[in-house]
Amino acid sequence: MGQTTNLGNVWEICPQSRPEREPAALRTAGLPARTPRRIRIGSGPARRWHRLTRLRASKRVSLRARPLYRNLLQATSGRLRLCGSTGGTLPTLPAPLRAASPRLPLNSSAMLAPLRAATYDAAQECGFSAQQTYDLLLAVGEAATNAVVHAHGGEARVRADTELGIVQIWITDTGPGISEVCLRHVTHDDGFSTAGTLGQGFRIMLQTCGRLFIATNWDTGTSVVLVQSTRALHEPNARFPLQRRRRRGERIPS
Amino acid sequence: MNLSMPVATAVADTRSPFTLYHVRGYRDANGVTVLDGLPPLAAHSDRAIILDMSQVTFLDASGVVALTAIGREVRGRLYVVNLCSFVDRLLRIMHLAPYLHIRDTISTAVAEIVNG
Repeated sequence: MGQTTNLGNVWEICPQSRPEREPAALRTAGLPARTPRRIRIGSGPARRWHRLTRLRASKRVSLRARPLYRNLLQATSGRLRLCGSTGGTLPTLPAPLRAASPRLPLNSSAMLAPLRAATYDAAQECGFSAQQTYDLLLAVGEAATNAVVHAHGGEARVRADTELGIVQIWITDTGPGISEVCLRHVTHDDGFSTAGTLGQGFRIMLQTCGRLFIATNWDTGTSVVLVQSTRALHEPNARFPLQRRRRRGERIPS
Repeated sequence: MNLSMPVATAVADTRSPFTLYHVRGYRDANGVTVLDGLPPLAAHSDRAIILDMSQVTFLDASGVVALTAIGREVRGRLYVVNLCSFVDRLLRIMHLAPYLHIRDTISTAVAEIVNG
């Protein structure tokens, strides 16, 4: 066999001589320079089509979350409310009460103390029993710890209505959010955790709070609202929503 | 919470198969959870531990983690007695009642340990 030299494959013998991929500037040489520009959606029908497409996509996401929502509602006796954005099929977060504490940063576990103190004060002003106060402090500690551990911080606000005897604790973070799979696990499985903790936080929150609202999204983070009241909050029957129960002739107190 | 602090409240008898600790737990004026008097996490693997929790008025998940760590150290021979209703409810919510051997009184726990 005669000696053949394939210059095109020299780099296979001598890896050091492997030619680098030609830079993008060379590949586009001779072509008119492309300047980055905003993609404009045409006016009129095209814009309307684009808006409609986005709306349909968001509705599709909401519809996909519906079975999960129903499942969570049943599993938690109506205590856990999965919330979505305004205009979606999921309910929105509760209306914030007016009287609020200043924003309390949650950067580390050491920051739990002012939040607990503010919660305790609010509970005392609303006339909570010792058991209710203890429960709320426990739930607040768990929710705030979740924000610190899983989202590397956030902020909290304590809101109260002393006349109605309701306390809301708003804890928000800008973390990666809670996936549907994780939500299902934390409500159904004992000891499930993605951070190597005991995995009992949601269990404690659900057992000790009157209501737990969660709005979570991968790009906006998670908002958790804990609600505790001196009066028993109306427990909806997850299997029979209010409309159907009214149709069946059942009297529902407003 | 300091797990390595000297235990001044322990009642230890070298011949008895258990050690009794009186634990204090509360939420201080700054809202910080304090848990005093827990046994150090060493050299307790050969005897059971009884924790008298009558002075514990507040306990959260971090305190529960400390209790489970002690339970792991003594291979499950941890008896928690004299719980107030708040703490008892928390431990039952967390399904830790069988693991921590919750008993009503010290004498009940002692009888159980002695009788095997």
